[in-house]
Amino acid sequence: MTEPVSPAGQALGRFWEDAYARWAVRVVAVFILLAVYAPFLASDVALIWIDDTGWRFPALADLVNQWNHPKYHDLLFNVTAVLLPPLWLAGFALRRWWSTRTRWLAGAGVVVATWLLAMAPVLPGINGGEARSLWRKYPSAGATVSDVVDRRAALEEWNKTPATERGERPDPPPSFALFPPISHRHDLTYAGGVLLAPGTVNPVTGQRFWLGTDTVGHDVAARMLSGARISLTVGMLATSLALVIGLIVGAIAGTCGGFIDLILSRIIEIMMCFPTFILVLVVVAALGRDLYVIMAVIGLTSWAGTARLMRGEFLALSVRDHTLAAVALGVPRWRIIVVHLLPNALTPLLITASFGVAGAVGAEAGLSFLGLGDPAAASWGSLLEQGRTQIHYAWLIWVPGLAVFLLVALLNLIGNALREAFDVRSR
Amino acid sequence: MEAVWEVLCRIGGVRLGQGELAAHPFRAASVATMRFAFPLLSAIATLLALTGGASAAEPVRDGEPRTGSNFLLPFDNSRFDATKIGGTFRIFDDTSKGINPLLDNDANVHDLHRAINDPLAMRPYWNPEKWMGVLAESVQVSDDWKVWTFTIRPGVLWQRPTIATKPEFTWLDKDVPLTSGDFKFALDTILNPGVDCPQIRNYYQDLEAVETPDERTLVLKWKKTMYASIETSLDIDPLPRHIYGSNKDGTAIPAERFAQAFNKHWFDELRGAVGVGQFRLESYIPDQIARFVQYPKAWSRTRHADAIEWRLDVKKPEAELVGFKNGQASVLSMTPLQYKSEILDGKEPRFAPFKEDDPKSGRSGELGWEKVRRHGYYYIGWNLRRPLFAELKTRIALHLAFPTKRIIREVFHGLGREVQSEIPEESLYYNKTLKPYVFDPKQAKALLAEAGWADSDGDGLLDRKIDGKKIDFSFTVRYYANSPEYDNTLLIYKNELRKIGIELKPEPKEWKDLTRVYEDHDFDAMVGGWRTDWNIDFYQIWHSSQADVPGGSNHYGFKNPRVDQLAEKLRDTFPMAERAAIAQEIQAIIFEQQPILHIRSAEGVIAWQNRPAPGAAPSPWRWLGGITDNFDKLHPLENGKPVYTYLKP
Repeated sequence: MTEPVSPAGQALGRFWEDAYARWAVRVVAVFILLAVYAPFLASDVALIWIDDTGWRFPALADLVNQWNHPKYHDLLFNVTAVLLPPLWLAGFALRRWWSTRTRWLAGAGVVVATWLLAMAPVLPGINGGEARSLWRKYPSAGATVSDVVDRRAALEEWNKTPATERGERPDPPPSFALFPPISHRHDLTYAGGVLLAPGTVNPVTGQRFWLGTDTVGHDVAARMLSGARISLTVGMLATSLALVIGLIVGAIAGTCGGFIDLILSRIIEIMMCFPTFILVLVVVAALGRDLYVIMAVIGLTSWAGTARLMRGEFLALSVRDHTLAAVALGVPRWRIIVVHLLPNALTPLLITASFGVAGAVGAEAGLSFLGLGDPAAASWGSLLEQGRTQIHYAWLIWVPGLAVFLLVALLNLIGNALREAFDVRSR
Repeated sequence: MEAVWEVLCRIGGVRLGQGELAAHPFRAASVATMRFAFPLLSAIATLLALTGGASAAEPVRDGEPRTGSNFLLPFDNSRFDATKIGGTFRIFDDTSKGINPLLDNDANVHDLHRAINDPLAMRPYWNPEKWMGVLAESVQVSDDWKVWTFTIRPGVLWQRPTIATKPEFTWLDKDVPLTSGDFKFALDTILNPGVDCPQIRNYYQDLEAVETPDERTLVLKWKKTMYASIETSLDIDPLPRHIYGSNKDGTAIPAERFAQAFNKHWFDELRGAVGVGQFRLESYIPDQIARFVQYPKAWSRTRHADAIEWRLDVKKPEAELVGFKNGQASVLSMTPLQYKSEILDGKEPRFAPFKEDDPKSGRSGELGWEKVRRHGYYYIGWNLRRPLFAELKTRIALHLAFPTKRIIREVFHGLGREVQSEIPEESLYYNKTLKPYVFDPKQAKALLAEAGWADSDGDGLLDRKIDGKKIDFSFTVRYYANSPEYDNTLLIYKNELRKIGIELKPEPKEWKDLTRVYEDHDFDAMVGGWRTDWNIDFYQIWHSSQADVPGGSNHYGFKNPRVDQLAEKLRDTFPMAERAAIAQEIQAIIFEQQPILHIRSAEGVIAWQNRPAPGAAPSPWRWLGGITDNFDKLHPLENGKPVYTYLKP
């Protein structure tokens, strides 16, 4: 006898039967993994470095160096990168005792707790100074591709110098060093590397620019990986914000009804009247071009659709028998909303979320494309913006353009498949 | 033959050196009079020469300012060929906020009035260190340089504005001659405290009186002897008194209401502008087009186009490039990145390819191009009021960590040169002993250590105790937001500084905000640019008094008593050798003190059509042939040496 499956479980089963949706989820998962492991895929810091002093794993230490990972979301991705393998193993080991949901929640909890702990000032300060956090600014790890080149050159120079005139022997190059496949950092500009075609060799270090360089000598491949982090962060955070606001406003309007509903519905309509992207442009121009401001603005300007949807759901659910029964039993209104209405309204929210993420990714790319993105962030849109003005250098258009297209298209595919799977009429 | 005759007549006239004749020189006389006068004058001149009289000492009209005689070069339009007139010269430009030549301090307004109006005298582009008479036929300067007496060219007419054909403006439908009164009107308006032109008024604050003994004589009296009075006396445009002094119905504006009426003049509101020059403004539709057409009654011709059109509807550099390549503009000023892609990387085959050994290689393509130098420079200025930059060693270290050559090569693609001073290196004023700092991060690090900077808390960032407080070496640089070249410059500099333990945070600002930032000294460091001119003056930027005045140009707060003293002295000194010595000493002090870091000199690329626009009838002569001829003359100080120094792209 098989276990009874919940309606949501049945819907997810139908979703997974859709071949396009399956592939879309897999490719998006690859995007996420690339974003999570970006520092191990594109960096000039060695993964393994062996020299006279012994073994080192500089790339691992670099994950908490605020110089190279200055944004909060960078640290969250880095923490995820480190914890993902052990958490996966733990989840696998605990699969008999803990449900899938519990394991996911526990894993997310561990990641977030570690992230917060890394930012907290819990380490003792130097010379009795202020306490420091693990995630802080460190001096350079000194194990980069350039260091290898420099050490080799210095040693050659030292060898050529007559013994009587030699100074102290310089540090020798490492006996073994393993670098990421893309041996350039996304935020460094490489001398002699302006607008080089894909596959060109860096004239200084001899490493390849696999996807070429941009107008100032950034490695496009490294920036694409960094941009994936930005796109996913913007998509997730902006959409979460929009969903939370939309859910609260929709829930209040749908359950309270009357004058409150009237007012909130008008506010929703006013918000929907504004062309969202223009509104975002104005607010970003006024508040500044910080990445988190952009995320907040996208989230704050795109909740109206969700609110209207939620209002409809809550309105419909509030006259269902189980709700009326709860009202008749004298259950408080907040409890009715949280326990009886919200779980039933979450399904359409999930579908909205997948479309919302796609919209936010597109919005951020659009803002950067118009030159209003965060100048310090290596987003796909900012690369596209360079491609717009430098039409002869096709890789600046194709590479980020395809990435934006693919991610947005896949998220829309997932959203569509979820909608069909959960829609009772399509059964 | 006629030209030879005229030259001979001129020589005769100048040698006489009589006040009366100088005030009414031969060029104003009829040819018949000159033919008659020449044998007599020539005989007198020969006699003077033979008797060893004043001939050897007599000054000639060589364009170099001096007292006692008319020094202005005669107006020269010999490059003009009447058979070449034709076609429309099109350029992309921006819409200006206003149109009034005094109220609207805007480069586009200045360009517009340069197209339609003429000044008393100008620096000829083929020799900008000299002065050529334009509306002034002659000038006499008193020995103390305080009194300037001009004789205004006769027979010059104000253009009739295009609105004169409308019934309500028939009072404007007549030829109005230019008189000295129009110059006095211009200066009286500038000096009127109610008129909203404080920046221009600043230049004329020491003007004591303006007199017009007759319609052709203008006398300027300055309160004190100043070298700057040369520029401010000679470069004056007349203002149409008959329009700006009148109400809309043609009645005169009462004196007590003049300033108020001028600040919101009906003629400006109609977007009208008139001058006495070769072209008349036919129409000005904001964000669409401004069109200028040859005025048949203009007193002189120097340019060959029938009409000039400013396309105001194309705003982005990339759209301008596409428009230019489609023949929508006669010339284009290219951005460094456009120069890189279209020419250096050869993405547009219609441009002749770059050749390192041939500075004129761009002229031969279907689309011509050439590098041109501009008077100006770009820099990063340190706010010396902040303790971070107070130490000289720190400022030198910041300079040593700046990869100037790489930035010129990779960001500006060879457009610009390393400079150590605001004076062009070809100028006599330039101090040749200034040796550039060569990019050397190791030395920079050592200097910072000497200055007391060290990483005491292990965060990879240098810090130091100043007034008992630990300060990290971290600063922001504010700069103009819409300039990808300066985004990239700061990005490279940021990476270099990071390697020696300094944090640079670029902070782009919109122009309006940036002006406030400069004026309020609200910055750690800023990127700026100065457009310089031939009038060398260090007072505005480097004098201590300009550091604290609101809106002063000494943004950095540079204060040095010796520089103050020298800058003041330079303003009163006229002999060239002395001026050069003073200027060189000032440059040496400023270079030693390093209040700013020079990024590069201003240099650009001009592209032009070497073939008629599609659909247009082929021109009998190559567009801008005259301009390319004159490229060689744009940099006269180089005396025939190769014009450009190329950096390897």
